[in-house]
Amino acid sequence: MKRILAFVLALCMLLALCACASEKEPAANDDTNPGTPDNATRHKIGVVLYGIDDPMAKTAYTYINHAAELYDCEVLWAIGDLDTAGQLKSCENMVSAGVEGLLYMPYDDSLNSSVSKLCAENEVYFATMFRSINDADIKAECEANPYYAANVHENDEEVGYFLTQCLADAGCKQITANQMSAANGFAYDRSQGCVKAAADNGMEIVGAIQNSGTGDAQEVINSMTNVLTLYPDCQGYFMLSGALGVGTTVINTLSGLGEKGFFKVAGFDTYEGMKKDFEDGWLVGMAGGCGPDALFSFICLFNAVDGTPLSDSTIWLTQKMVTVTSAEDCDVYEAYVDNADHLLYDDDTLKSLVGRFNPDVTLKDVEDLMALYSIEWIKEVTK
Amino acid sequence: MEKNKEKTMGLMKRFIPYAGLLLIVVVFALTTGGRFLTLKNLRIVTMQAMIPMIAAVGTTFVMAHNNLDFSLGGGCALCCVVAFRLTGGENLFLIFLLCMLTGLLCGTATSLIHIKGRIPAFMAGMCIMFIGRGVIDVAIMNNNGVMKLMGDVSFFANIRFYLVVLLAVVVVGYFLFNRTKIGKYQKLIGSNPVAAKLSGINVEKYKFLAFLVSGATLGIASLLTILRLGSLTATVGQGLETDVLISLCLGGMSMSGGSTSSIRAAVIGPLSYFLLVNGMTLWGIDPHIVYVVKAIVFLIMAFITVDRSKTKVVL
Repeated sequence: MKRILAFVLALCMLLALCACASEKEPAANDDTNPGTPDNATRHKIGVVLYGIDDPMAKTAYTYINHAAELYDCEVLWAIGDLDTAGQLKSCENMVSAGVEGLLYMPYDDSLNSSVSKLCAENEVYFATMFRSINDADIKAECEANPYYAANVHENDEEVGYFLTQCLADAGCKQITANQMSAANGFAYDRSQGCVKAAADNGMEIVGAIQNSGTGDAQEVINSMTNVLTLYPDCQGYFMLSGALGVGTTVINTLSGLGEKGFFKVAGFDTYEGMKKDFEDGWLVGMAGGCGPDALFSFICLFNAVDGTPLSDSTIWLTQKMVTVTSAEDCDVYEAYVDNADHLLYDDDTLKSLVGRFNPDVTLKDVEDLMALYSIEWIKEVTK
Repeated sequence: MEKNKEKTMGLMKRFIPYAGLLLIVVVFALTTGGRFLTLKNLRIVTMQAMIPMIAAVGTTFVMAHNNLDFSLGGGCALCCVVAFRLTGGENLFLIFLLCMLTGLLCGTATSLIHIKGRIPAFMAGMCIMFIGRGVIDVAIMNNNGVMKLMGDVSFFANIRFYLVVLLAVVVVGYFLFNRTKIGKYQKLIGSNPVAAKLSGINVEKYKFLAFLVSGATLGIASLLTILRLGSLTATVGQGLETDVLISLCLGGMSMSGGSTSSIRAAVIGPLSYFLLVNGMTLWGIDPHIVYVVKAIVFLIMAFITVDRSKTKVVL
């Protein structure tokens, strides 16, 4: 009897709560007309990022927050999701929280399909950063969605080729590399660059270093040790990503296996302390500095949300990477690139890229600014 | 006096999960400007909680006899890989059968390693977890592109279908747990395995059945995972065992199993967990604080629900 009563009570409670629920969204400012900067709508944009511990992520975080402050936009952050399901949950929760735009870095092409449907159903603009879309069907599906504002990604294959060339120039004939699937957009493009450069330089790629992308140091250490034991003639490592502490872990592991510089590393996603590793002869090339990718994705998304889109269709932009090949370059890099305390773009420049402050802005303005990006340009603007 | 105190504690343990859920709903309903209790938001939370809920129903059987099943995430990955590889993402019915079969195999393997190998169940589960993660990495690596579901699955990939499946699983799970020997004996074994054995219960057989039930619900959860994501990813199922464990704890499930175990923990727990996370997102608080809050809530619930008469502290 008590159980029945308890059940009935619970059911009544649930029904009462559901009665409070409403299909109708809470009153929100539906005005997408940006108006003038002084009386413009304050938008809310959600951003999903894997973390803010490494320089690139920290820079992306700082750029977006700074731009949001300038544009009087509220940013909702979801940090720490390292799997597709987690990212999807965060996107859904943000849509529930009433964001008008969603910016995320997809770990997998398949997330784009799910988010595209979610955003289409809820009339939320979305943009992706740091990743292209490799799967043709998913790419077509996203591009057909009028809410897909922009995709900004790096010139991964080109830089992958360059970094492998650095290994070849350092005398490596046999190298190892990370193995990642074609479903992982950025990794596939970077790997393709490596494969092509290896073929052109007569290098052999052996073994495979495991890196699940979660920053699991032990996984990297074990994998490296195993590969170097199996392939004692291996001379170099093409590192797909040094983020999440992997770069430091790799060099620490190598330091315990032989004298300084006996093995060469070239890779993506810079990490703190790499200057010393260049000096010690471990590193022959690193590529990074793609923090502005997040900024330009955010700018394109904000324009779409604010009613001043830079294009009628999905914007595809390529963010150049900064390559570092010496300890001297590291000084400039660490001072001005991927340094959250120093932003490369001033407030006037950032405002000039948004329709609210500059009604004459075009997509070409954004492209021209992005095209300048290089270590030479950075040295120039920071003189 | 002692008896009254015990009775009060027992009542508290039973009602705290309900109170917790109610508290979460009320607090967030009042502080999120009306966004929390919208049908859209509740629908989203339900979709998120569905998969851990279904997996938790089966895991309840395992936890009731005082074991932990860490095979869920890897097992889910294994189910998805097998289903996709053998069907190419076509024929949803075949995908379902393969998920169920693989789930049952995972449950069987875990239980055999635990029972026959005399290896603690959590270690056996971890073996399956590593196998599953390894297999899916290889499968993804060897596939050129994304493994997607083919054809129109919109009829199944929606909340109505999910709710029907959930209801079926919960009803069957409730019936098995409370009305059949499969469930009742789990609680007996969890309370006192020696006494259960001396009473004539085939402890090994019922433990095996518990893992089988867990495997079956894992298969169903895997199918829903495939429907939700629409494709196979390298990270499928990641963290499922942790989500289920935390959810069951929030639902009032004792970590040591026994007679207080209940299927309601599998329903209330995941709902509370995902409503909590959703509510904190609506608040817009620092994501790092969300982790801290989750940890604190988990600790509090574990503290309340653990049966101290069975636990020993080694100093």
